[in-house]
Amino acid sequence: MSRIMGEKRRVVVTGLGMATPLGLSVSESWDKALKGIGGIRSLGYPAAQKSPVQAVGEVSERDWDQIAKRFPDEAAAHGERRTLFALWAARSALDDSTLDVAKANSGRCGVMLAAGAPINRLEDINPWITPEGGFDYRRFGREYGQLHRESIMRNNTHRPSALVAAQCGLGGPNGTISSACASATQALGLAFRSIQRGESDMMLAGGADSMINPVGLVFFVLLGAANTTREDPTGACRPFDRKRAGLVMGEGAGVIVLEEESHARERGARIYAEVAGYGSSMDAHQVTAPDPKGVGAARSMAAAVSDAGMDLGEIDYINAHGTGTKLNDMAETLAIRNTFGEQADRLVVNSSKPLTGHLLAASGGPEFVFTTLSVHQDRVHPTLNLTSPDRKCNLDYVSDGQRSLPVGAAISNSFGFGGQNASILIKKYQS
Amino acid sequence: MSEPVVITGRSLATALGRGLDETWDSLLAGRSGIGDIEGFDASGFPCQSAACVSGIDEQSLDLPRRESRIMDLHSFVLMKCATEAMAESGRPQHEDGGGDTGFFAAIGMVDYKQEDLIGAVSASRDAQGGIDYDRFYDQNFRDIFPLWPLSMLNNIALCQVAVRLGLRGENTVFSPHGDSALQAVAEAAATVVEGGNSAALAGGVGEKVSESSLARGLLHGMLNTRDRVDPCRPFSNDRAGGVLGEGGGAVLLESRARAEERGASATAAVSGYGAAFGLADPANATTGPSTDAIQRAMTLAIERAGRSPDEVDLVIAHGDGTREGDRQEWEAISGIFSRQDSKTRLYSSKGALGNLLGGAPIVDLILAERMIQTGLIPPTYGIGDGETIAGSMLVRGQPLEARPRVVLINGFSYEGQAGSLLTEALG
Repeated sequence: MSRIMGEKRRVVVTGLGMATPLGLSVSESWDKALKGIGGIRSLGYPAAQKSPVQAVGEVSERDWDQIAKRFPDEAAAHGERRTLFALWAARSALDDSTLDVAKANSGRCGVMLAAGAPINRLEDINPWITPEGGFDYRRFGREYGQLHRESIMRNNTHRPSALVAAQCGLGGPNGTISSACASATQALGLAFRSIQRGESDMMLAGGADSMINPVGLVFFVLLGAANTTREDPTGACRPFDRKRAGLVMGEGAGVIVLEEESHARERGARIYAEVAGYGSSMDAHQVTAPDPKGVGAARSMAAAVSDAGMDLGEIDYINAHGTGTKLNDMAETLAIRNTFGEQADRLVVNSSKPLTGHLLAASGGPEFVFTTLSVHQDRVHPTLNLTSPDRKCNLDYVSDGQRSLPVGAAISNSFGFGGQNASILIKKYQS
Repeated sequence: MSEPVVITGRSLATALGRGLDETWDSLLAGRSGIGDIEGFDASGFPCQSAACVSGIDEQSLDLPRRESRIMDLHSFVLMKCATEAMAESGRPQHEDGGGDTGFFAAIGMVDYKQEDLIGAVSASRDAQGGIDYDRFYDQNFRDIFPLWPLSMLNNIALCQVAVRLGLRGENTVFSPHGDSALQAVAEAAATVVEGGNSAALAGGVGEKVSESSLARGLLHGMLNTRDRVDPCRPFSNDRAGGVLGEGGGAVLLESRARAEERGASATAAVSGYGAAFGLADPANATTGPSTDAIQRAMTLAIERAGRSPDEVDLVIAHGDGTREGDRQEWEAISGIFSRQDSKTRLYSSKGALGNLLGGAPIVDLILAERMIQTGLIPPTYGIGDGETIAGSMLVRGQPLEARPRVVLINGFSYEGQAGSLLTEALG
């Protein structure tokens, strides 16, 4: 088996790429994050005026046009929003890393991306409903060629990771993670392991997702987890706040270049930070709600710290999953308390979701980018809308403007519906 | 070398049987599980054949309605196989509170059932028969069962198993094709080696044969639209495409030392894995991996197991019966095992079982273990007496008593991902 023999290889972050409601440039998005300028607005398209969900984090139309212009062939052929977000973020990360793939060993450069729930379209059902209210399978069998290009029947979850690899010329390991909202952090974790073990030298990892489509809009309403505020969309997502009232969906992608340390150093790459540990766990509690005590989430954080060979006291900052649902934020707070004990009070915590919305399967991507930049620059962005703290959520959440503090090491958390948890640990790079 | 990772429990479900013995006996006897699709009226489709599983449902698994309401065939198969693999291993279910039992699974695309949405869609039609979204959003979306969204998530099947079996360790859901299943086995094994999990389940399930999965297979150009008798003919000269297959499997992996410590028996170890990407046809995103990518994945798996191609007794091919896929794979295989006197044999299960996508390589791994145990390789079904591109390597006609000890398993996607896994007899 591929195994870590003796010394583990070190893994560093050398490239960052994003496409989110904050924009298409990492530096501009980071600047907005620090200033507390969020990207959540009222839903753009007219057909969804009556949608119970109105506050969403959409990639702006102007940015979308720019993406489609950059990848005209893919836009024409594959159209699916998520795939194009993935391409944009991957290309940006690769550009940022300055890695010349043509000079690298392509077979040792791979891709590991998150994929969310595919797009279910009412228009894939409607034309074949019979007068009796059934489905005309026979006629559908003759007419399935009419399905929309975004239909689940045209799009395998593998498509983003495959197209990114094909576009960027990466012939190494290539995988797709479908662990709900834990997916992108798991993709980053597995990419980290792949490099550590020596299976690859460079991995593009992260994810892309969008559920801002007609059926996607009611997805979390049905589950009772969505924020259905119609007024004040920018204030809708309120992690750890007493008035938090559910998650706000965002869309986009975050893709990161992870690289083996000597590989990066030999080519003189800028190193943002080091990935030092990864942990994952399952709640095994129930699939409809997180374990209220956050036991699984605690084990995932503890596993990441122990994987890094670090002490709990060395962690300075946690980029929380922080969805702004009643259940998550309470359970996550307890999980942090239970993991860190007395050390919990010296941690700072924030959530990026009021900035971008919840990018679902992809959420770990942009959050990894922000966490990396905090470690790199010793600055932590504020948690927007945390104005009336929930007394039971009793950690030091950065809320009132950005905070400057030495960030030696940080954890980014992602927890998936069903009870899958993932935590990744990023620390300052020292040669 | 560190401690081998061994298989201590296994279970599968295929169109040929609810379990391993039935499937194995049928494969040896040269039977196929492929037939006419009966679950819905497929008569309008240009492909009407598939290999369908029967008898695995909420009743047979004794699942309460509140659990089964968000499950479909893929969840039932995963639940059945994971539960049985765990039980067969004899490993105490809640050892260490399950905290270090991991679960890695490959799960195919998860499609909605028409009956779950059709009420809301019908009620939201406008006078012209289109969708009136105002009506949908106003109230009709409430016709959808509130937990229906969970049933659309690939990972819920894994989470339901975790709840039932108390699995709390490292985990990942990969999707949707054969390469993903090999990745699941490799990651599960790696966590056992590295100590993240003391034991880990690795599973894989394909897609339910439905109007959606059939449409997807056809839109990707993977299915035989020409003939209904033995439609999947791996490596045959007149092969004309693949066939969907239902089912999947799960194995429990442990370190050999731990298994021996508690007196569990094992026959085979998982010893090498390789993965690569490359499109067979760069102009067509769904023609599967290239010869080069396949060859790299296979070579890595062999090398990382510390083996040479000479030592590989059998390749269980991806061999899905597609024109281009089988050609690319055969070129890769013949490039590695090119010597005239090569004793390496070739087998594909897909002519009898269909393409189980994310479930296929797990089933092949369990079959490989049985081949190692019994010394027999079943005949590749579907090729009759016809000419093949694979010459004498391909096992056909009768079971072959070849006593394979080192077996390489291939699993690919439609999109260019190639994976390869080496399993071998314990010395």
